[in-house]
Amino acid sequence: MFPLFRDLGADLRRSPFYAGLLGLGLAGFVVLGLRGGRLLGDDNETTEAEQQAGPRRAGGHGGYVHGFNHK
Amino acid sequence: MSSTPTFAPPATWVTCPKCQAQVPCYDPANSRYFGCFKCRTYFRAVPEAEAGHQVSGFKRELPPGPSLPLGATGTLGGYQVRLTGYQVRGEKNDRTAEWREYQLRPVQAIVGDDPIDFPLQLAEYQGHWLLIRRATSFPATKGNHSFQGKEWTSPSTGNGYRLWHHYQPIIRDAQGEFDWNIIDDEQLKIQEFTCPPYLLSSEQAPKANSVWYLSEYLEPNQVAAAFGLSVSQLPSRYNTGAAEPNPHQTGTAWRLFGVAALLLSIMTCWLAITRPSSTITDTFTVPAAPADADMAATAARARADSAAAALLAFTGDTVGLAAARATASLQTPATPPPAATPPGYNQMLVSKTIELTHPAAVDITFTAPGLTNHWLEVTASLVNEQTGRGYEVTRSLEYYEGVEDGESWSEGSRSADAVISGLPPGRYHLNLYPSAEAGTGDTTLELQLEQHSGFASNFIIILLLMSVLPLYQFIRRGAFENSRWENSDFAPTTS
Repeated sequence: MFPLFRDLGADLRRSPFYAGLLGLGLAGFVVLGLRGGRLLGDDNETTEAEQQAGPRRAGGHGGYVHGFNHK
Repeated sequence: MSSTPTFAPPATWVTCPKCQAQVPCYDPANSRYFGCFKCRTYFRAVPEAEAGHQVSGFKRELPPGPSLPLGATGTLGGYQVRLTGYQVRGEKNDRTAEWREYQLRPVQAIVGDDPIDFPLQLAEYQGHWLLIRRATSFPATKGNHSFQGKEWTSPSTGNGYRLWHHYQPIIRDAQGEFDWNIIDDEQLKIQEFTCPPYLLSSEQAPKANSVWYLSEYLEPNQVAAAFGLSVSQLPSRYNTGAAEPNPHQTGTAWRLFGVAALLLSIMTCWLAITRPSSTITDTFTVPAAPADADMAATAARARADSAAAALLAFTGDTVGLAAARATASLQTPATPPPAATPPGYNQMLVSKTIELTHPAAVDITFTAPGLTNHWLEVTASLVNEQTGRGYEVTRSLEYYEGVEDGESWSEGSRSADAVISGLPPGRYHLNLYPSAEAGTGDTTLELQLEQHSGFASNFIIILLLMSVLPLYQFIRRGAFENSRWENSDFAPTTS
């Protein structure tokens, strides 16, 4: 692990652009973690408008699961 | 940078024995062999003492000719040197390979023996330049045996050399002066080992010990600057040089990536410790629903008949069937109150409450352990009890199995999961609207709600994104090395 840090200063000076990208990635990861966000694979089917007005009913193997507003 | 090489008048001249042309001689003390620039005769002479006599001859000047002018002076390898001889060499077994070598002699006469670096030479092949000097560190061999290894690591520098090439040279053209008979070099067996920017080579005459030389790669602009030329006057580079340094360095990017990966791991641990996950589980029974009202009635009647038959079997009363059916109908387990059940659903089920203490995601897992040869669809709405906001997901569970031609098969899954992320803190419950296939029995549905702060997928995706640049450089570095070893018969084995 030590060799990683031994030349860290020189490496940062040599690749400032990549170091900046890595910093952005780390910051993004923390923000996602603090907000409970997920980069890929969120399964929420409700749009912002529907969240306000109640969920849309759709789907179902014959399409008969529909028409319900739980509110 | 000056673009005019520095010349000085030669110390003396020697006369070509064939065409009588005057060949300049800058180093009369050491030069004994000469190539006539006019008639291509190669002859031996002792300047100012012995007339020349022909040793060999070359048919014609091979293009492009010397790109560095003979007689020019410059500083290379820490020495003030003059270009005194030029030769074109090739390989006995490869008529296409052809390179040029320039002999370099000190500008100022050196008292006593030559420095250890001499003879100093420049070689140019496909626009790639090497400065060749005597090696001080090389593999040890017994007597006049040649080195048999394919790899060697210098104990003094730690450089690891790999066998690159071996060949026997032929001389195709020569101009200027030489302090040895270059035609004798056609007897040499040469091995070359590469460790960019160095090339270690051994030259072995028959029944003689190997003599080792170390070449260092020079950029064309270094050569041009040394002799006061412009780079455009030198041959253009093409292909990859045997000792050409790989411009795609990956060390910096990999080290920075390693530090970032370490920090990412630390942050993952920090999130897991400061925002622990919590889980609730629930179990429901989903009754099968007929597809329409008649089927529902039929199913209800069937359940009532079944219960009535059981009652009759117990009482032995065959007359009071209607009464028993009515009684059984009353005794049939009641389904949940239909008041909250929307049209098109069998019923609505409500889960326990899960409390999110901080912004988080919820991982929902549906499992129907008894599901066999039918399907169950669940539409679920995660409701924030304070704000009434709903987040909806739909999942289908289906599992089929059987035996066909003596082999059992199965497809589908008895469980499914969904993730709803970016949820604000608060109390949440799940409204479930399950639909089961008509004509099947009751289905047990197990539900698990898990609060998440960090996701392995976030970690992996960000780690992959971070690794794009070092991976890209790694691939380019590999491609460069492949192009280098394409010119060798001893390319490292690749899987």
